Amino acid sequence: MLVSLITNSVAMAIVFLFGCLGETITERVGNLNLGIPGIMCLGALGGVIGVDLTYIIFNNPGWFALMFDAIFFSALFACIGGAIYAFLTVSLQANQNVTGLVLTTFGVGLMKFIGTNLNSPNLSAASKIMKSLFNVGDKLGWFGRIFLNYGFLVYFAIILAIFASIFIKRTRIGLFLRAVGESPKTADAQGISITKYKYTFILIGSAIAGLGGMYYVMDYSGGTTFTDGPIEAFGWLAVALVIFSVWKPTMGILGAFCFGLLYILPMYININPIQLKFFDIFPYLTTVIVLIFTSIFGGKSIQPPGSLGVNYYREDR
Amino acid sequence: MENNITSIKRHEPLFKIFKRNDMPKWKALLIRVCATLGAIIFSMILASIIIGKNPFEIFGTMVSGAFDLPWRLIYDGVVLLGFGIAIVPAFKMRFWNMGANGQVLVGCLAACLVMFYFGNKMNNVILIIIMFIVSLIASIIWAVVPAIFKAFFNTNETLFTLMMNYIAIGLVAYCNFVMAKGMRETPGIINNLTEKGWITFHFLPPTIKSYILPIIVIILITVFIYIYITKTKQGFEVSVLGDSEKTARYAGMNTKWIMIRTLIISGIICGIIGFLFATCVHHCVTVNLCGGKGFSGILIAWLSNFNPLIMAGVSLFMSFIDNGTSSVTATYSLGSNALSSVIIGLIFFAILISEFFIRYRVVRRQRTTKEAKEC
Amino acid sequence: MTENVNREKAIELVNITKHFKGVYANKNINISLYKGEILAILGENGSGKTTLMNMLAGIYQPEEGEIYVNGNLASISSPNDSFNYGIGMVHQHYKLVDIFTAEENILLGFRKESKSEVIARVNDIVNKYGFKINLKKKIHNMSISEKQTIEIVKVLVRNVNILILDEPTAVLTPQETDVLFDVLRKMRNDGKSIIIITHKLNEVMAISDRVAILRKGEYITSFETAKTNERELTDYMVGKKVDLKLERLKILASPPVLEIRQLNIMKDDGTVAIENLDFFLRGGQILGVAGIAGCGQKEMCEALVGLRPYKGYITHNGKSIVGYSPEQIRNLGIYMSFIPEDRLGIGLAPSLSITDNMMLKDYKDNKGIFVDREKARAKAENLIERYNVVTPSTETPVKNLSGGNVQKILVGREIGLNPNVLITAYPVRGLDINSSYMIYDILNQEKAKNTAILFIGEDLDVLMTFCDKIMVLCHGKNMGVVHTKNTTKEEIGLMMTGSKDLSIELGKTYGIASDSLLSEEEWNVLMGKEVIDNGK
Repeated sequence: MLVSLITNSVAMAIVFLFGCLGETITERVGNLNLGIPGIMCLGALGGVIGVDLTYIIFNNPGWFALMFDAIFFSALFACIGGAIYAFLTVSLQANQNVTGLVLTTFGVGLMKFIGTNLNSPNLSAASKIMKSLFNVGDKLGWFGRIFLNYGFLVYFAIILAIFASIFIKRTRIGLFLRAVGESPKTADAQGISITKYKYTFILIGSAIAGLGGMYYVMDYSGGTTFTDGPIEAFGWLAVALVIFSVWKPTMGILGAFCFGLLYILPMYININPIQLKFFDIFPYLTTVIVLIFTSIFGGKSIQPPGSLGVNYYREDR
Repeated sequence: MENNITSIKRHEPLFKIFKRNDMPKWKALLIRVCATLGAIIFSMILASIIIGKNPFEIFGTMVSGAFDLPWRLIYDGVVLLGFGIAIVPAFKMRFWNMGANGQVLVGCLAACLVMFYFGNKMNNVILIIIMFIVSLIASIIWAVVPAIFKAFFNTNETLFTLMMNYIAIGLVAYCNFVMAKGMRETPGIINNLTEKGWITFHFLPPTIKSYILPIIVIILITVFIYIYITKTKQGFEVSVLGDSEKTARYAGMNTKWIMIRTLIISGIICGIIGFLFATCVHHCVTVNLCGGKGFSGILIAWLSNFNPLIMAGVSLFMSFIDNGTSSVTATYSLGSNALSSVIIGLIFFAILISEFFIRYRVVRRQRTTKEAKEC
Repeated sequence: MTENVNREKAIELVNITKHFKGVYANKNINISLYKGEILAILGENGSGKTTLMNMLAGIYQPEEGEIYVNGNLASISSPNDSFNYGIGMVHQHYKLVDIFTAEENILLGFRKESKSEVIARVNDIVNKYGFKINLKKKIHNMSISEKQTIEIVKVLVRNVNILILDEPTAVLTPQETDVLFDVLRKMRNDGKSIIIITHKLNEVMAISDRVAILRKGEYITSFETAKTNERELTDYMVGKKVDLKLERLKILASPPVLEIRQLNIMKDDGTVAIENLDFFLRGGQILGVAGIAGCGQKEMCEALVGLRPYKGYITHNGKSIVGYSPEQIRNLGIYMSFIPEDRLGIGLAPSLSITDNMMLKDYKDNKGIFVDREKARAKAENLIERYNVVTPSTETPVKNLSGGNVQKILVGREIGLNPNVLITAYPVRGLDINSSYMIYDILNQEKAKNTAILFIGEDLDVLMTFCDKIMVLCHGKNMGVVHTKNTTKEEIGLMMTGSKDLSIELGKTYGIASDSLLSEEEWNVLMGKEVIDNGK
């Protein structure tokens, strides 16, 4: 039972991890993107469309085509959302909070509007194929069951988080990206193109967040729930998780697991269904508590990027 | 180094952007109207692709559907205005209250709980008064807790209020389950037969009898908040605090208390809306009761620049889109009414784009005479 | 006026025009920089020097006009272009990422070069010009002159031939300035061309080969430095002959109004701003405060009006006001006109109208729940007329006004409240000469009304002529209080840097009034020393 608790938590955590990672990268470059929930919905929609297209083109598609199309279209749709956000906030100087909220409204709406009219009989079959890939859990005893009992996207997310952490901390471009987020004036005066960096990393962040939505549909929920799923709520949790993880992708892995565990735990506790309902609020409650704790006891090392939420206009005086 | 310089490729940006002086108001308005029209045209084309009908037919369905139930249209618009107004005082203070949804929801929940458990145990007037009081208390708590932490520990209010929404939704789901004794998701309409705890005007036509009180009350609240913000000392304090916290403190204002007090006002407005939902309109509470109205309220308040008249106009327009699209959804059996969010999203994108052209001047790079000579 | 036909031009600016919010920042400017010279660009605050240079650095873009670099038409649309043309600028507000180390800051913008390559270049430059830097140190742990060094090295590493420095000496002590000037001369002798922006005449004379003068966004003229003098430059800089003499009113000073003892204040980052400071203010007297930027003046002002927590003892007319709220303090008649660097931070609400800003302090005074805007509007009209504030109307947001007008509104409002203590910091920062004199006049009138004035200034000449006494701060410590008639600029300069500490040299405690309204016993009671004395 403990094993399945852990594996289920991890499976859940990956939704948050993708979203959190995407938002972390976006915030590191100085943009608070409240459109992440919408972008995750767009990603989910894109993934489903990608899978559908694959089934239309190939009658019986192989795992590679499925996986590639799901990831590609999910990232593409998410990037369109991200591009709208980037265009409005970076090029057109629109308020980041308002733009994000509009994007969320739009993304959630579009997913439901197109998604409910989308006939997707092949989703669960596709989901089975994607889930079994790289899933070698049963062959390696308890170790395998805990650590290797997942679909491809789970490993991908964790590797991505570790890679992002190294990228931000150790590489030259990572240094530039942090400079843009901390002090765009400085970075600009040094000849770093603020526009280029913001666009690039908002788009990359959006693509990653979009995968979270796709992962939820195609992997976690087995291709069943889609348009009425709680992706939007997960998106907000992902935004909260960025604070929880103090803008560090590796901390994001840990935080995502905690959130996943909180989400899954009630199902493993022996209580009546009425009380079970009450447990739904726990992840949100935890976020609030963490928010309060970090604000009361937060030191200098866990402060947000210096220019977070503020647009950069070079000729501002 | 000097060789370098001559070899540098000269790249002139195509456009240069400058901040502009104030544009005439009519011109700014015209740009916004054009943006809105453009967005509607675009979304009609999108809808026609998905639905497979011609865009004019869809638009026709939308307009006729929206005006089919004029009171519904007005009521929905006024409710949106209510959500916007609830957010205005906090926003004036630059306090991002993302939690109007949750604040209304707990207010409605509190009223419904009283209605459910005490409905047949006391005089109707006393019942309604108690419902009113508990609604206010619940909503105030939901609004003021983030404000207290923001005031004392500078806790991020955007995320705090956001999370409070989902906590409220969880509570509503739980309480409904409890009221329905775990048999169903909701207990259904409360006191359907006795109408205890309901405020109804049976002498009015059925189309308006449940809407009339919310419409009047919210319009009164709007007028009150307008006067509060622009004319009173407390409103002045809110404006100063929103502009510069240090200045407010220097002027001898108690910034912490102002922040808390302002969110109490937000909470009271949300509580009244929740109370009206419970007594006049819905007589029950569901997790989807508010939909995305809290967020819509933020957008309305922000883009109207807190001007109550413009807010009313924008709210009515959004209600038109909402009601129109739900008729489109029904006519073409589309499942959920998500077209509305898509159109509203597109319209707001278009307006955000137009804001840029209102605030900035884009100039095409011209070749100067000397440059031309050289080439 | 100067003929340099034979010399090659490093930069030529032709007819450069740029405006902000409908006001010309630069209008048809024509200036040339010759190779291997130091050109000073002289002008008052707000004369458009920085805007002009920012166009060379790629921060702003000219609306009209052309820039030639080494004789070729250049198009500078970003800082990167600027570097490519060999132009580097050291901005007045340093462009450094605070939480990064010096090394990380220097690496910013280098894409292809390896870290060791860049560090090697840095070491070359450091050795060549004799800089002292610690590459591993975080910027926020550095002193101002350390930061400036990093800023200069950062620009030089980009192989620039043309170096622009915007007010590099504003935050330096006289001694640090000398070191900087030596470095600049070395660079010139290396063949680099240098532009230095300043409004300090003595520095122009000391360092430049040529000087170009701007006034109100327009180019006025230029001179060979050797062929001109301070007097002439001043005339061109301010436009019309002005009397450099400031008036020091002779008023019989009254007993101390505000007495401060053992004041200790922290900065936002937890470091010490003010340490064990004693001083006092008399009515009818102006106490100047000298010190390099960031040595605790701002924190001291904030503490005095109740905006910042402190440890220590403050009495007003012999009554302790320790722990009073800003409101209680202002009810005693202690007012502050404080112009921070961002100008609108404290004292005014920038997006609100002039009218609204007028009632900021006394909006509570009328009865009822409504504000009295009519009264405030009348006050605003009165103030606009009295101080010649240039504004479209009383309902214009304060942030849309120019710096001088903002300052007049702030000072005017504070004085309109009849203070008995007036704390003013940099009241003429960013103002033209005429507005400055108006502010000095207003302060003198207040002095004549027996108001105690604390004047935090940045120009030693003004402090020397305008104030009665000067308190010199260095790293938050009181280096001594001197009568302006008995001191010299050099002495104050030495005290600012901490190389001279009168309180140690003369063994005298400064800042304790001999005619304090409280006896020493009463002070001891107030400061809780009684118990200790009894213990002895």
